[in-house]
Amino acid sequence: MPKNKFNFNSLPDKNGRFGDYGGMFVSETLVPALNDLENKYKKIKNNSSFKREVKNLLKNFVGRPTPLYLAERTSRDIGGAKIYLKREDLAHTGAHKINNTVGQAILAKLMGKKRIIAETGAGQHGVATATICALLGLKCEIYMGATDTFRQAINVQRMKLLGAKVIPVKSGSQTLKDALNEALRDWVTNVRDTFYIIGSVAGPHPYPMIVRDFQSVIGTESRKQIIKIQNKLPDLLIACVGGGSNAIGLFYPFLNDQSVKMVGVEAAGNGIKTGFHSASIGAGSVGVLHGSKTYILQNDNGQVEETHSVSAGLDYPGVGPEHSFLKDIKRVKYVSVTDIEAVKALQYFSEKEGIISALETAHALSYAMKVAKKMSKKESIIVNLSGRGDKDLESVNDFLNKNRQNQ
Amino acid sequence: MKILNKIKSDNESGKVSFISYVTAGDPDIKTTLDIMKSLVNNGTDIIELGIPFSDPISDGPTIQKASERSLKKNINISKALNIVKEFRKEFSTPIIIFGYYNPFLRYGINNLMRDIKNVDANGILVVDLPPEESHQIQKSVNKHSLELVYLVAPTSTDYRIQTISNLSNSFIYLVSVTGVTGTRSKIDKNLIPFIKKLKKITKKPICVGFGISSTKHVNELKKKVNGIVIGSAIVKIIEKNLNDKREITKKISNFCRKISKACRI
Repeated sequence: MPKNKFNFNSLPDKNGRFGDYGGMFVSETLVPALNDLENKYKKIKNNSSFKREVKNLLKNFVGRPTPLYLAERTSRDIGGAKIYLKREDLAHTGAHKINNTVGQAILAKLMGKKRIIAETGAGQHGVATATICALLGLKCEIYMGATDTFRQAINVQRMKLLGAKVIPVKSGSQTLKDALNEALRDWVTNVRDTFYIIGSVAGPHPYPMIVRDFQSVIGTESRKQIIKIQNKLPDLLIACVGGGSNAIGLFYPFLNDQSVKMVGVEAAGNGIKTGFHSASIGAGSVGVLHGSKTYILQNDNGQVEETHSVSAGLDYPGVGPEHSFLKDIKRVKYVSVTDIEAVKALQYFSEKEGIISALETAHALSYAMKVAKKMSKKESIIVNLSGRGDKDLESVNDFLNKNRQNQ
Repeated sequence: MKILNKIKSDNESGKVSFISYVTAGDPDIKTTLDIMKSLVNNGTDIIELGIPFSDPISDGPTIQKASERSLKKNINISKALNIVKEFRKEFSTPIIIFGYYNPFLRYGINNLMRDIKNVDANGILVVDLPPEESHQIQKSVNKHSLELVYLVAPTSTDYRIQTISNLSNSFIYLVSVTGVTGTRSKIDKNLIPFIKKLKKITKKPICVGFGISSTKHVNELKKKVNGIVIGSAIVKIIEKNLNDKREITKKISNFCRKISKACRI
């Protein structure tokens, strides 16, 4: 690991780059809006009344701080490192996504924007956006891949109940990538009065920075909590990575702690070798997608490839540019976990810990179980339990039924 | 500077330049070549040849579908440049390669400019590459004496317009509206005032595109700008006649003749 080679707090640089990654690859129409967003954000973020408003909502509306919980039965059962779960599933709306939408929606309000749009994959970001828009009285429209509207139908119902309009996207693979495309098309058309709340650390600068900053509350709390519990830093952090917002949220406040290792877990789908996966870092190459330079899944002609994962939230052919940077400098290790392994982990934690995690999160849990075994009892792991699994019951059942038939 | 010179000579001969867009390989390579010939034989002055992309976020449904049709035929940059090579056997019409950055990046920027030059295409427009990110491509374009076309949008600030004007070695492509490509019934009411402002900041020729689709639009704009770009209206003709390729070229020829006539000042 590099010793103090990078000051992680200084990234992105003034060009919106994390090393060579990131930037602002969008049409001219959007650049002035992105510049405006960056300037306003930089001005507002340290403003004490803004900070107070965000803090108040995170505490009283979202329910923060979320607990850092020792998964005792699992840790004992595995017999290796202690596994702590950062319980983002207990945040209002059931996932970490709300941390970011609260911040961005208040920013939108201060910028005088009355209409909010967002993309969503698993629906968690859509629900989190619809929720805060309901609270703040903002008009809200959510783009969601048509495939995802079926496999995450409960979240579609929640968004509608919250007063949002859900627009199914029928182009391409009809998943998260296409929802992002359509949201960007909407934004370029309505850029003057619309605020686009991106849900991950992806997209053009300044989004990867803004989303990271708002999600860092996860890592900041975890750091305090773990030190209080065991009077030392954890040895390992684990989080699942689609676009990578929950992972950056946990990792970022620990990046300068050299002793803390970090692993991002991508979706291996049916297995990397089958080609049906979403492992942009593990199996992709450098390209430009959705406004930023990063690892993407593409063919030899630079066409973006369709992805697969049992979890809609990880079903994305790109990854946040900061992850690409952290991968290249080897500060974070990236691995992948298959659909089957993830579903097994979801079942295990349901039965042993009484926690039904989201399918996305189950990827991180699965890797945690594998790696904890190889670590000593004196060591500790924090897994970001990024969301709860109520939305996934049907997907899990379908998956188990299909697997039974195939056996 | 073949594109710039063509616009200049068009304007001097009493017309606004007529720039037509088609996606390479839509609906197939041979038809694209036939369409390009028909475009030129019926009054198109400059051709924009689109490279298909899986995620065309600046395009409306019409050109999105064209991109999908082309990708189904496995069209890539090499095949698109081969179309130019064939076309050049008969025509000297300036050609702009139009597309999104990722396929170009994957091909290799220097290799791309070399090969664009080799087939005697004349310029490139990268829709998702604002001046902030264009350094590498501009360098390579300059090295191969090609033209890099930048977009200016209704949201561009005076400072940005000035920056783009200073960087550009070609015409300014003015996006007529905030939005994606696609035909629209009316010209945006803010367009004419914006063109006036633009002309105060830059002396570069201005060609306007996005939403321009009829002789009426051309008549409204032709005395205000140096060129007009028509894309989706042409691609729509392809989309509606996929079962009869002769009908495609026939209808595109008719459409072009009308537009070309309207381009006379």
